[in-house]
Amino acid sequence: MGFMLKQIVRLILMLWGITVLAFVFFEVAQTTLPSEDQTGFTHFENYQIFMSSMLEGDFGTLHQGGEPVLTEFFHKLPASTELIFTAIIIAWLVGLPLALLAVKKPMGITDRTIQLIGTTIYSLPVFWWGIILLIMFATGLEWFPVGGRLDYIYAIETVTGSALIDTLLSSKVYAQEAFWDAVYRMVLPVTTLAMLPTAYVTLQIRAGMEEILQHDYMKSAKARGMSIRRILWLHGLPNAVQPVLNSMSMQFSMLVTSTIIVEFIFSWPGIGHWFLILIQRQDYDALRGALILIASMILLLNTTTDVLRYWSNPRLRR
Amino acid sequence: MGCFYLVACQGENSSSLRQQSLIYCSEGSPATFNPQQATTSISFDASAKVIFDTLVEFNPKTHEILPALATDWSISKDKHRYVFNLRKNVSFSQNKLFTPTRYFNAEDVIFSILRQLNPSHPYHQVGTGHYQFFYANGMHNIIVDVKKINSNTIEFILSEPYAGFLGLLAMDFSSIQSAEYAQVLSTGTNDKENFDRLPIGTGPFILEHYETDTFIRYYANENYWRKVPEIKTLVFAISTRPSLRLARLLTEECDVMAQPLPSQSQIIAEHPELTLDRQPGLNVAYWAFNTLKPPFNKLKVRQALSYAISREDIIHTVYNDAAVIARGPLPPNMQGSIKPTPIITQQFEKSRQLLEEADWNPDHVVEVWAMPVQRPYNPDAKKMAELIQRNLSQVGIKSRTITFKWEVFLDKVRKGQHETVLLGWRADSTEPDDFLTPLLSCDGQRNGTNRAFWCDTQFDKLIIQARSDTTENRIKLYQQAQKRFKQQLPWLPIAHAEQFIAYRKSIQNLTLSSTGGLNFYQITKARPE
Repeated sequence: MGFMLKQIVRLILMLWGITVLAFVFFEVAQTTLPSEDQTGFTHFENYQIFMSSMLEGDFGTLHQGGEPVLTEFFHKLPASTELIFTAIIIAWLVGLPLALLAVKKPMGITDRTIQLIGTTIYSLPVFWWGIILLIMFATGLEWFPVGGRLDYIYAIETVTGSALIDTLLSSKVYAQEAFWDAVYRMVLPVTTLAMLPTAYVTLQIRAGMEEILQHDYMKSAKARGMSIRRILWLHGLPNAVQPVLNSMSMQFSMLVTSTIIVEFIFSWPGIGHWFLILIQRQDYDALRGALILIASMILLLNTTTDVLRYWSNPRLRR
Repeated sequence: MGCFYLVACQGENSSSLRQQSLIYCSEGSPATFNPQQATTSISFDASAKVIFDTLVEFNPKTHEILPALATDWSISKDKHRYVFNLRKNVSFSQNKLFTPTRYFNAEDVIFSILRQLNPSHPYHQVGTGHYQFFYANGMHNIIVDVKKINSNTIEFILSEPYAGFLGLLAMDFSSIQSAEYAQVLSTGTNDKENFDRLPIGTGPFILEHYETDTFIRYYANENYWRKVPEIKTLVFAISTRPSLRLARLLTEECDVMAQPLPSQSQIIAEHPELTLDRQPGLNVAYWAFNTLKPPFNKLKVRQALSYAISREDIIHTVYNDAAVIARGPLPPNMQGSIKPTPIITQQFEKSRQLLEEADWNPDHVVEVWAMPVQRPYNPDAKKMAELIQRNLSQVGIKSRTITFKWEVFLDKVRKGQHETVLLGWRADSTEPDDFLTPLLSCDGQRNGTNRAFWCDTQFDKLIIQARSDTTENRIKLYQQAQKRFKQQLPWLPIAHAEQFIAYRKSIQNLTLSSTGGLNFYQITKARPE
């Protein structure tokens, strides 16, 4: 129980910290940058107003259109989550087998190639990969569209906000076509977004496995005549995956940052795209709300994974 | 293209769907779907001619006034009364909040005018509550009353004879909205704000869905009183970056592209599947001097600054030569425009001499306010400001560029906080008054559309006279007014930009009117081979 309490207190403190930071940033921006009329309130009074309205669920409204920031946030969220989750799944589906393949013969030609490619991908920034894929496969070869989530000709009702699920649920005659179009449009952005985490999963698991294989218990298993595949799958993998899973929450915040860039490059109408439009419009009120919502979402996810890890790991619980 | 190896999507559905859809890569998100409150061409394009109709309209080529929701009209001898017969059996569209129970009638016209005219009207404050074009064009002074004679006849009573009145009724801000819809939204738990968010009109298309900052989808109005559009689905794919718009046009994701950059024109013109339309636009880009702020109240200062500038360089660098030098406030293809001589050219000696005569303070730093956005009349105000600054430094004037986000910028300029500003104007009609009154009159000074804050009694008298003059003499009065402008130089007119639109060769009957804006309802799409 002590652990849970600590987590909750920590979460509340951090959320509060975010509001203070966001408030200070934007208060400074509002006063130094030339902008609309000053209200005549002190900073502290402004903060009180800001906090109390936020506790009532008012995260500000958009300058253009006048929609509440909260509504807009939840409206744009599914497009981003769809990208992020698909990227995570791809990272594991591709990264894990590659790691196993590599570690089968450490420092062999396959291993070296995988490591080389992995490191290359890992050392180049996301926006570079995005632009390269866009130029090559969209504007150059014209194999894929230059952006967007669904062909504009399809009018699919929003149910869950996920294009994949909504097209499957739709009763339109072209629902199936629209589903495949949605899949097809995800290829480039998901590939871009999945590159870094795939490289990360591959390299980390490979390194972990190699280390584990050096342990005496592995050597003795080998001596007892267990097949290498059995050793890898049964004993090596569970131990190597654990630390990578543990760092998932860190990876998650990294992914959110990458998503902003990917969404901009591929005109993907999610949170990141929206955030950049708000920056362009210099809509500070909405930006502040959006920033707090995005940061809170990451914090909540991190705390949830920490809690889950705690409950699933007997060693930590004791 | 479209379907790579993933699926067999050559199915009849998607190709016939594509055949009946028009995707327009637009340049920004509309701020409103109410043309009465719109202030930018982006908002007008997404609302006025798509969703609504006006009583009368312009012939896009000849600019003569044609009937629209009004079938015919008569004007009293004293030119104070206009009686319109309204078209019968015209229906408003429906949406989830509203199903019309009657056809369009006089009540709708009264509602649409009074909402703008009367500040205590129950719908006046709905939306932004600002009706910039209605007031900038002086409608509040012109219209005394609007009366229903019977359900299909309406009478306007004017305060003075006004030659351009029909032209004003043809403008986008005079779009007709549904009084019945307004009434439905005023009752029960309904929200009046939905009136402009989920607009109801009589126009060729019906707004189906607006996905903020992403796309706007319209369906054809199958009950349209004119020929029903062949395009069944019209989509505005909002693509703010010009490079993205071009990429989407090249990859066939868009059929029509808004606002190609002058620098992109060559790529488009040379592409076998694309068409580039260019035509002189009814617009002007200008550099206004705030005549209420010293030292710009001195004529010699305004002249000195003007003689320092090379407009040839600006046309070449900023417009890529797709514009002509503006000799006055009115574009050359507009009636009543003159070509005053001698034309102002760059003359450093003259500029320096004028500065000396005006006792110029060499420490004064001239503020050049440059708008942050690309507009049809000025693709890059910041670059223009840089060129101006360089020219100014050549005659020893210090200067700096100032910019704000667009809404703030306009607001501050409206309040007259600038010293000099780079802005422009796009016409809604070929009526000279549509330029001169908002931009240069004393009325315009009061409501802030006159960015030079220049109120000259002689000039004002001329344009007021011209407004109510329905004879040939009118043109002469406008020419005299422009001569007065030239003498006083409240701004340096810079350029009249050409208008561009790019589209795929399969698109037919696309018309770009010289007042800007597209007519979507006549567009057809050729079947692919």
